[in-house]
Amino acid sequence: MSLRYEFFADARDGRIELPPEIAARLRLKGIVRLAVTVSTVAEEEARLAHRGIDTAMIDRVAAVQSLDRDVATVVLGGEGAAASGELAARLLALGKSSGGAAAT
Amino acid sequence: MKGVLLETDVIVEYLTAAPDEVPLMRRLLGTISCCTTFLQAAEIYSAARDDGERRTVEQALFGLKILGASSRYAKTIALLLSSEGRMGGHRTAIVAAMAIESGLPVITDDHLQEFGGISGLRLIEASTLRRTPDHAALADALATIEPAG
Repeated sequence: MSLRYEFFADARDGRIELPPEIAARLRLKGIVRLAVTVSTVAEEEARLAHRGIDTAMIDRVAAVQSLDRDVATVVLGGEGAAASGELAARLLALGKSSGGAAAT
Repeated sequence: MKGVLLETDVIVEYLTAAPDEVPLMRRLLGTISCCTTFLQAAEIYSAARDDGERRTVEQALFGLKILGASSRYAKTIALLLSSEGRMGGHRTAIVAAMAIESGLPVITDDHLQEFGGISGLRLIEASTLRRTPDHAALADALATIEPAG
């Protein structure tokens, strides 16, 4: 069985806390050992650079929207995050509607 | 101008932008305070089917101030609903009232028709802003929008 959950977390004193809902799911499945890949904000900034989003843009968004720089990085990381696939199709179906829930 | 209110189509364009595209919302995020309402946020969330997809759409919503429902909007919503000839229904009335009461112009391409002609509502065509060549021109275009009366 292979599961994959992605989330943002603070690393303090060498500890990363799982979001409660993920911890609960792992507990339900009896999973106690995980393979962990750490992705840092710096890596996210490198990914953003491929979209033409530089550090100046991140700083400007943080300043204009009154966000922490890390949050601004996350927000800009959302650009194109659903560029293809089923989620993209459901989002695009919303575009022309006037408020109904996305089609299943 | 203290900010703008983004309609669902502008947020969707951001989330679904191809790698070589510069969506309008990115440019707006770096130019002016960006808001939306709980209705647009709910519509965006409605496209997500699991936690992973919800986290994906949240990445865009984190950057926006999401206006919540308040009783202070009730009179304006009622006025808009009772206006003769209004066609948009409750969604249009609620979003328009929240924009008017918050002093925010609405940016959209897809909802221009339903919002058109609502007294006191400032409406900005997203495609017009998209045509501005750079940051300064976008800021100028936003600055020319008349302030709320």
